[in-house]
Amino acid sequence: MSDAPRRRVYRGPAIAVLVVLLGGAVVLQQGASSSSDRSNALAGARIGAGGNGPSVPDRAAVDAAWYCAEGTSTPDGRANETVIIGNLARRPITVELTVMAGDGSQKSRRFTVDTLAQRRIEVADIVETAEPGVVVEVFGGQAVVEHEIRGNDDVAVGPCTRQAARRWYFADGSTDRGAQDWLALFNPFGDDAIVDVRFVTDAGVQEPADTQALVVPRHSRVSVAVHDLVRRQPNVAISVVARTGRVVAEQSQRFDGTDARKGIAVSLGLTRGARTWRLPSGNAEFGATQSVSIANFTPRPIQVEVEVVGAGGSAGQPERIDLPADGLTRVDLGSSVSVGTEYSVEVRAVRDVPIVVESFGAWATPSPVIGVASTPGSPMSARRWAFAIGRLDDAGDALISAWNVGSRPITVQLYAYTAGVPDSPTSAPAAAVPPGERVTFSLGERSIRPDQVLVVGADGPIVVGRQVIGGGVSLSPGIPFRG
Amino acid sequence: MTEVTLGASAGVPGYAPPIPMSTASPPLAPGPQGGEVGPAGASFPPVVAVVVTRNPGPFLEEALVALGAQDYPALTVLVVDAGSAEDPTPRVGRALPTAFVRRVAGDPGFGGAANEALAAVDGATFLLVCHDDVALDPGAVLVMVGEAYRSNAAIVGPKLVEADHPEILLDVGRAIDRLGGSHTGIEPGEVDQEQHDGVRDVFYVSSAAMLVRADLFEELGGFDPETFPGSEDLDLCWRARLAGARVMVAPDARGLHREAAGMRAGGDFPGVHDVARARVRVILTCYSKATLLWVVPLGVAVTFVEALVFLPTSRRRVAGAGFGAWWWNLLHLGRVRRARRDAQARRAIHDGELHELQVGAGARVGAFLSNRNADERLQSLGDRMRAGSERLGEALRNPAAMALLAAFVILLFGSRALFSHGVPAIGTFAPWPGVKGLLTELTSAWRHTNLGSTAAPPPAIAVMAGLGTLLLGSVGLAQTLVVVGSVVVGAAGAYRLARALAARPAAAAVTALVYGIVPVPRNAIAAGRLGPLVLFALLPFLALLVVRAGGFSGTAGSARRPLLGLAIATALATAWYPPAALAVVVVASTLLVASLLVGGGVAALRAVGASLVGLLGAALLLAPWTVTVLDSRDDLAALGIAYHPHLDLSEVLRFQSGPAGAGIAPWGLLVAAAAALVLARGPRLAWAVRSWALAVAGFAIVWLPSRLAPGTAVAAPEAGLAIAALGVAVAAGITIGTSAEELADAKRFAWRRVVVGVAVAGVVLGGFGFLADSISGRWGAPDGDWAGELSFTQDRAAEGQFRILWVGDPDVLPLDPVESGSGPAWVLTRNGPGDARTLWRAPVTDADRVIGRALEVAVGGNTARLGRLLAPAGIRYVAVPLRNGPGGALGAPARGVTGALADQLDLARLRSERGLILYENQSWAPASAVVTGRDGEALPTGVVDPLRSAANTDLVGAKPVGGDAPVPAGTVLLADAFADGWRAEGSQGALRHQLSFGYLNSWRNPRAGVVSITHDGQGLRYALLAGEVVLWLLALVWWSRGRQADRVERAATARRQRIDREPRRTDLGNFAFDDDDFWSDS
Repeated sequence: MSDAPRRRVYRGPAIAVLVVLLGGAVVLQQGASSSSDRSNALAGARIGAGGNGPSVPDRAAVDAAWYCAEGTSTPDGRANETVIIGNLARRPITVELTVMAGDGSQKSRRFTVDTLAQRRIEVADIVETAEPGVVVEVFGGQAVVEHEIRGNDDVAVGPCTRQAARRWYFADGSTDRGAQDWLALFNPFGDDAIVDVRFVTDAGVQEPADTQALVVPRHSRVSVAVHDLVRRQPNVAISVVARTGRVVAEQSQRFDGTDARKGIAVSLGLTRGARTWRLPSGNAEFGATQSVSIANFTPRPIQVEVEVVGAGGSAGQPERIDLPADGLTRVDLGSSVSVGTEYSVEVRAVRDVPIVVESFGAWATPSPVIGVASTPGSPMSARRWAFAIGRLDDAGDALISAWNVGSRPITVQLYAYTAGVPDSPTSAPAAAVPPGERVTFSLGERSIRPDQVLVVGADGPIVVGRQVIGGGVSLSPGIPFRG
Repeated sequence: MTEVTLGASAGVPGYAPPIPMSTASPPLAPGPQGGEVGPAGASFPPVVAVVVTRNPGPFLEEALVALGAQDYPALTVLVVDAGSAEDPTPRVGRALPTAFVRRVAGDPGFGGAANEALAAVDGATFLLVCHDDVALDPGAVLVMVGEAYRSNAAIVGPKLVEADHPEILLDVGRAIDRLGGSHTGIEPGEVDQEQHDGVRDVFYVSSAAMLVRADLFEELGGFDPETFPGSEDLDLCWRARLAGARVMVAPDARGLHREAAGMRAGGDFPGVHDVARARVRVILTCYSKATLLWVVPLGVAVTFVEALVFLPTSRRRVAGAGFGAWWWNLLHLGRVRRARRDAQARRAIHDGELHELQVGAGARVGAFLSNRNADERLQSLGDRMRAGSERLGEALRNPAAMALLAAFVILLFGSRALFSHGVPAIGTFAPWPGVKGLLTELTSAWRHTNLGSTAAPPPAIAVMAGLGTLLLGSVGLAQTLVVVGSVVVGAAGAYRLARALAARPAAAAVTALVYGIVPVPRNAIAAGRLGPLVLFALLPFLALLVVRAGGFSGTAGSARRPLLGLAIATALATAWYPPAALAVVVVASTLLVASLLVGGGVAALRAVGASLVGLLGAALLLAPWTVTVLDSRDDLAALGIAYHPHLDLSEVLRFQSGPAGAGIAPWGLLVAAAAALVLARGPRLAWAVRSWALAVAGFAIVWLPSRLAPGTAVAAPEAGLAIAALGVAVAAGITIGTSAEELADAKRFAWRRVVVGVAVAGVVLGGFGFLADSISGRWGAPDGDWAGELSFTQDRAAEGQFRILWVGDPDVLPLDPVESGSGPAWVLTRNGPGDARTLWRAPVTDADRVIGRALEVAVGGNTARLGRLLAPAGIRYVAVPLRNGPGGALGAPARGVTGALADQLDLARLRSERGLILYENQSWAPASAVVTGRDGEALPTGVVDPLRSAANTDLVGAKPVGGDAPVPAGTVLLADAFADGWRAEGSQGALRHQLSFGYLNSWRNPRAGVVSITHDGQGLRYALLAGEVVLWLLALVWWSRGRQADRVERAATARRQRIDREPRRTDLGNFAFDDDDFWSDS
């Protein structure tokens, strides 16, 4: 029995409290919905923060795998490959290099790379094969991996990637007479991948039966001769979409000099489009032609703006170009800049539609060097960028360009590490760079040796590219540090 | 102590030598004096009839008169009164003036009273032990004495027939089966056609009338008083048999037996437990040790099975008592020891020599099927069915009861696939292993959850094992019954709660109906959430105990029992679902908050206090698991707090945490509940407000965290919604209870009737929602499970022990995942997709955290060798369920996880059903493995970074270790969390234990040979388990004693209330309310 005295119970207050609680809940529901949406959006951003291209591994990384798709390792190979590993850690690191031979077999070898040192490994020294897919696994510290391919008396250097993906895009390519366009698809994983390859040309989209449901077996690399499938097209953009599995896609272009283009170029594919792309390395000189290829892989037509930024940050009027759905265009930069001018290029989609941008250059007489080069644009900026290699040899040179894409002046420094010296780096003199301008470091002028690993640092956002000159020409973006 | 009643004579007449009745009282009236000479001058050995009586009915006189009419001249009658409330001496004097009367104080039992003859009688040749309801034919004593001489029998019994129907046979001697079960060989109602009239040896004769040689009786020490009730005759005859004496029946001697136990004054009924204990005592006393070796286990097993069979009959208490009797006697062997020593000391024959007087094991079954038991059972079933159908018929006149019955039918219909195909292994519906497996886990010093732990296993495993045992090992059925039965139990609890609150059956039925049809249990089934389901089932009982403990109800007894009950119930609920411990406090606290509006604060405060006391009691009962729970304070996911529900207000109010509840149906239930606030008055309104407070608290528990602290892990939403459901159900019940009153009162406003109509329509609407969800036959649960999909992995255990790493959204992961907040949730299973042994996992250890870190590293893109990182832990497969089962509920997207796993070089994707991404770890090493050669020497030991060391180590060459197979020299790696208690013995003795990979165990095995790996602490585990069992037994015994007292008290209270209410009932007619007492009390 309750010892409480019997008391009268009033209905009104109880109902009032319930109504107030319900009303409060409705109000809170309205307010909370929007904040919840925001938090979901942030969560999505965090999840989707993977880069579009290679990046330097975090210091916290337990290990990092780099995939080098294109290249050969036979004496008569079209693009014989050398892997270059740059150790950014102040301690020796262990590297395991595995060559997957295309038939499912693989061979591995372990190396040690000294503190802040660079190591070059010819793939042919491990296994000779026409279809080598190379995996470089780094244990114990930060490192960057690039590869160098040689052919047609030219050299092409570009970063390997840490990313396998279901989608890959290439904006630039050509199957003109005298041109070979090779698409390397590398599947380093334990299960097969099945991909569809589409080609976007000036004549429309082509989907050859041979490249539909194309199987890329596990632990294998498959090369697709684009020039045999898409004949005589001056502009070819490529999309690779995996039905199952993931692959690494890289492209090389060989020109035999039929149309004054001679050499070899390599470019890593892009895993997704972006609205804005930047190309920091441009030099107008006699005998050199440079162009920017822009591809729209969406079903919507769009407009893009191409802005060439010259020395001193001066920019002409952006060129606006219509780009059809599933279309591409090539913009020749020769008319925009005068000879002897350094320039950078920014390409923007007018609407929020992703595009893919890649540049191509050819150097011929009267240029002091002969060769071709291609490089994807950079959709991102960072404060630090790394290269495993600068100059290829003591006779050649390399230009490292850093473009201040921020809105305030910054200081840019080039660090060239000395192998085995933990107290590295020694830095080139810092360069002050106003907003919108770029600075170029000539490694030859600064006597930076070919075996030195490079890092470009700034106190603001920059985009960094490299032009290798000597024994051919090569263009490539830097490898950014994340975060 | 004996009390002597003086009679009329100083001596007892008998044959020479006269029986000196030194302590016996003379008869009240003078009788025949001196020795007697029989017919034709034959001399008769003196016989003293010892008639034991207690609170006798009119049959006593019949018995005495019959003795007086015996044609046996040397018969003396001694009446021993075993503590009758009323002195029978005058009655004895009137019926048989020559009889002696001896009164015994207290209640010594039949045997104890009959043993008075040992002291009171001297010189008799035979004692005729008689019940006071047996009337012997005039020649019976003569026949029995004659047969005793003729057959040299020590004990002779007569034929017994029914007193009122002498043609019906009752007894002509008895046999027993191996377990002491009595068998007369007589069909129930069998007519006496002299078909059993042969003189023969029998195992024993009934003490209703038993002629026993006086010297033997004395040598045996008389009856064993401890074998009373029910077995004193068997015991005496058995001991006589062991001493080499014959026991015979002489059917020519006949006795009319009235079997008058039911005619005595109250309180003389022997308790079934006492009868059963006495019977087991006889077995333990009389069998040889060798026989006991097999009889005891057989007896325990058989009585257990009988208990199961008798469960649906009125004999279930008897059978249950039989089972308990074994335990009681085995626990009190000291009380048997002396009797056994005496009996065995006189043993002259082997047990086997008595076998021909015993019936075989089949007779026990046969008797059950065809004889008395069968009839009784059938009769019992028939009675119960008849009574049940009568009650049902009466109840079905009530629409609420009809609706309840319909809901039950729909429940069965909607659960048909669960019964036919079993419960899918989703969430915490992990398949229950066999009873042996469960018991092994329960008694093991090492738990195999994740990477293992020394944490105590959860007591719920014991409950599972118990249920499995009850169903003869059908653990799958036990699991299904728990899942589906939770709805029934919950509804029954709601009914009891409502009865305690509202007292009117119709209102209580509506409460039960609403509680049963809310979508909460259906969504819990669809999501595979066992804990919330059990909470749903037990919550009404917990609430009822809280209410009683608080003193809201006027029928509460002493505080001890409600508190003890609350502790036991809280322990039961918490054992299955740790957050249930808080649910009790929430209920009590809500009552306290509601008291601000409706009063009853003191009772509410008492309820809060009681809930806390109950919580403490539960913690004690669940020890040592309580320590494990407390250790989980940094790992709340181990307690089931691992969810991130994002339900909007509408979904919460409609209980829609899963597929059930969609649509408007649940609104109807809310409307019915809300009507209580409008319609109810007085005390009933107070309980309506309290119910709504409970509902609001339940809704708030689910909804507020996701609004105010998104990202915070909380309990499964069904837990909070169960509290809300109870509040809504009770409020709806009050609405219906009130509406009957409104309908009865024609003067009420019409709008009240409209509200009543709307409320009823609301309940009906809710019922339609319930009906609609029943179509699938599985309440929205998937029709398969990932365990089935991954069953192939169990076959791979032959290649070495392994683990499966499950990663993804906690909503769709099986078992109890680890949820750290910074990385994906995960859980490990061992040698397959896992089972219920890994439920209620141990809190994460540092070793477990390595797995979490490995996943974080992978998701952060900081490794491409997740397989290597996981390999030392024996992880062979990585499974990412996107749904909780094939076609089941979809979990939150796991983009970061799926992408990260796809990027791994050493994980190979396997074919799997849609909704499950499955990888095989190509760097896998067996969970118990040996690494030979230089690789073994190079295994990282000591304090190292677990992940970096694993990334640099290739374990692909490791070979499995297990069984008695010799292990090659090398390093033995055990993929369980490092603990000092692990030991390994090799051919050279103990191997050196070392930390490997920074979190695992390894031993250097210098020489090939068998290696055995064990973990210490098993003895301690057994001791703790025994302590736990003792604690539970104490609690249950203490609680059940209180229960008995409470029953009596409640019955008395109910009688008083009935008497008090009678006039009012007359005044109010059929619409009178019998619940106002309670309402007033609040």
